[in-house]
Amino acid sequence: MPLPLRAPARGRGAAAPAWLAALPALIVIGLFSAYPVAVMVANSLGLGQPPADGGPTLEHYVRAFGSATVRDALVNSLLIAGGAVLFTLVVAVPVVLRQADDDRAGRGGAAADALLTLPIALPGIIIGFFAIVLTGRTGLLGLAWDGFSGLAYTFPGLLIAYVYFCLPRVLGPLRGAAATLDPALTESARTLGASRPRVFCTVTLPLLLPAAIEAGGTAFAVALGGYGTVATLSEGVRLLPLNVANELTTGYRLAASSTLAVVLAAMAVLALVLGRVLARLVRRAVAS
Amino acid sequence: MSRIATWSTCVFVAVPILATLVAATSVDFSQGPWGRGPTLDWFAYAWPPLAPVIGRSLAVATLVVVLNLLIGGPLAWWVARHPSPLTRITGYLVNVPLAVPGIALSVALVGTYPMLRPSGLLLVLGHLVFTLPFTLAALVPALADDELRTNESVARSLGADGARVLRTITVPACLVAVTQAVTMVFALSFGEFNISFFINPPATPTAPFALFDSYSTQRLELASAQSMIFIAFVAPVLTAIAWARRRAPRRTP
Amino acid sequence: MSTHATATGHPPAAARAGGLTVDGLTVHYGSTAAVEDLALDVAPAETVAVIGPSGCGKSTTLRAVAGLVPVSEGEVTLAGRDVTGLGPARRNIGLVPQNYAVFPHMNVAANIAYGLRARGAAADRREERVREMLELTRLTELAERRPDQLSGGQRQRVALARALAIQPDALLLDEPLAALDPQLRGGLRRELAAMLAATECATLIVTHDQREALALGSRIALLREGRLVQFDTPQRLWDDPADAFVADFLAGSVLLDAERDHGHVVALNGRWRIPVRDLAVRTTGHGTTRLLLRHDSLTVTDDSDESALVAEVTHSEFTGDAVHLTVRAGGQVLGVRVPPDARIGRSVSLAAVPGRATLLTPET
Repeated sequence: MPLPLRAPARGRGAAAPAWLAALPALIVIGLFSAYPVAVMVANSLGLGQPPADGGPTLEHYVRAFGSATVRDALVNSLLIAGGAVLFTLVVAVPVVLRQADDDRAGRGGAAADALLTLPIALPGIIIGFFAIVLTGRTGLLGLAWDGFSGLAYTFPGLLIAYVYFCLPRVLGPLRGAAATLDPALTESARTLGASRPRVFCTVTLPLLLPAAIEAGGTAFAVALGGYGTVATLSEGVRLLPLNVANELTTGYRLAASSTLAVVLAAMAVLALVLGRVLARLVRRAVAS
Repeated sequence: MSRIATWSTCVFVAVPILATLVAATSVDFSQGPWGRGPTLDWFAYAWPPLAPVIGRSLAVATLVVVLNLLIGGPLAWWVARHPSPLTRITGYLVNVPLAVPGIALSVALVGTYPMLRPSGLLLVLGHLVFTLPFTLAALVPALADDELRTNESVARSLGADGARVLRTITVPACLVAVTQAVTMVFALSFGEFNISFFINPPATPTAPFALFDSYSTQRLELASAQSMIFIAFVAPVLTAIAWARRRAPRRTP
Repeated sequence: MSTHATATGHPPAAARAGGLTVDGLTVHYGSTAAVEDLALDVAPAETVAVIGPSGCGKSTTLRAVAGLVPVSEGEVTLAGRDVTGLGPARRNIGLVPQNYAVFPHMNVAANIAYGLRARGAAADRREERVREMLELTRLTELAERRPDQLSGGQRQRVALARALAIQPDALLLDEPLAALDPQLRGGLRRELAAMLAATECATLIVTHDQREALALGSRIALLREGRLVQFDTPQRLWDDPADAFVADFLAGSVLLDAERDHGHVVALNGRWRIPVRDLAVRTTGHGTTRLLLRHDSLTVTDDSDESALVAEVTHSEFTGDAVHLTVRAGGQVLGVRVPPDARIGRSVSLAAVPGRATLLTPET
């Protein structure tokens, strides 16, 4: 590794401290990201503006978890996000392995590349609209088979829409992990007499698993908070983000809305942390 | 096997877009694809009201990109070049909008700064904090690269001052990363809906809100045409993302 | 230029039951041929080194033998079986890739057992074989270690043990020492040679390092631009190179076309006449009369008689015990070693050191 050369001292005046460069960004983040989140948590605990809130209390949480609709929405949210992420992972693993092979061989696929990245720039509402166009009451697929009509407003329909939503968010990070897999590992395993399925199960999958879990955790967190898709399909299955919005749009109940938002955020953070921790554990378990 | 998976995934992604295009060019989609014949009329109806909204969204996205580079660039430089516990904490702090669901952050922002909402300032700042993590994710590894740092030192030893080093060495070396950051930020801001939900100025909505409104109030064909126009604006940006990734330097071990 | 040299003193490939035979091998990458019409054979327990400059097709040859790249033409025979159409899993080959590809998620013992598990070997048989391999490669103490706790040399031994555990019909090593610290290579090369000597399978080593090839190969196949240039024992490659490329690549020697003229040898278009009595004379299997010059074949002389060659000094390099001069004479670049205290001008007179330069004459 080349030793970094020491930069010659600046000629004129004393150099400004380096953190000064970061200051504008830190101020913006502090004011418009960290502080509002703290206020949100405070609101949910009854620590908001005095006229509305009368001091520290957990009653908003008690009321939220006491409500059957909130509980249902919470369970639905977890099932949809979890199911979509699992399904996406199953689809994504062969795709990224293929892409890694193609990249190494220098083969094309720029079109497929752009196409598979596209959904990341599509807001959730458009993905919800796709579901309506294909499997709404007058959807295109409904013409082929009646069972597709209205599927968009059912649990499986929403699940498929969320798979579309998760796909680019899993493919991206997983592709990086697949690219670092040394092809000599699978080649060696093959020459040692292992069949392709065996190589996949004993070499490829164990090495890809930590990255898959981590990407899954991130995608789960994002899917959990995704509002656009379910907002477009709101006449169907109810998910928690809808309740967060409803508490504000139907009679400004900031504390109740904040409480649900905190619950949602806590689950997302939990998914992220769990993804990281689990990935590390698996990496260690797989390595021993 | 993996080829089949890749192809079916591509089909899975492409079919809804093509179906929306079919709906947008059908006179009456409820009578099947191109029911009562093909037409471009829906695009003609969709464009005039959508044009100012798209223009507004483009302006917001451009502003967010510029702000990202102006304040995210120096932040990335600080995080990459002065690693310390402080930069690690900053790393977590920057990623808060990724962990907290957009709708939750939207509630938080509107609860804290309601007075900034009508001007649209809150929207821009909301997009800014939401996109900053992506700028950092692209720029920090590029700026932390050992080879780049050696090259900068060599340039400085040859007598180039800080601004010259930045212009002739640092920026060219980070061009792919900057492209990646710019395109990603632009696409994310242009299509942002979650964080915008409560902070978007009600009188002057951005493109996703115009679409959302159409989805609940307009005919499917018109909404499809608007969706296709929206996709036509983000597709080139995505091609740029794919291109930037292809050009990303391959590390030689 | 390139000639297909068949090794003398070995039975023809087809007659041999075991070992590895490659016949008429051609491999295409797209429209370019990476390897063309290559013929090689490795006897059981023999080690053949495939050597050549980068891009000569030596790695492709190894990958084709392993079944990792499709073969356009020709066949690969292993222990009497035609394996050309078989996948890598069914060839019974032990491969040691350049970076060793030790499975990072398995400990040393599990790595070695991998091929045995894939073959469904019984647990007791497997454990016994792993124990044998650990002993052979002196890894017994490290059996429970993870690959990231091993040195480069230890990883190499794991990869070797893993490849040998399945009792392969052929062992393939791709640049076995290239990934290691140059200062350790000498010792590890001797260690590797000892372990290879203990195995019974046909071994093919791909390398770009002539010292490795000379030390490890009982025969050497030299490739250039996808074609076999010479395939013979190290001694014969050293003594009787097929052409100037072989002489230069393997030994850093110079091979000049020469003619005999009574008691002299004439080279460099008549600019240099050397008395035959000053030369060692050997027969060559490669056609014409040539003069083989090594670094110690020439010396600087004060006499300017007719046997001296006047040359222009283009470069001089201090090597500690001597100065190495690069000189040019008649369009040919030559190397000369002189004592470090020699006074050298821009032009020197060269003479052959008696007995050090070799005249190769065709068998009559």
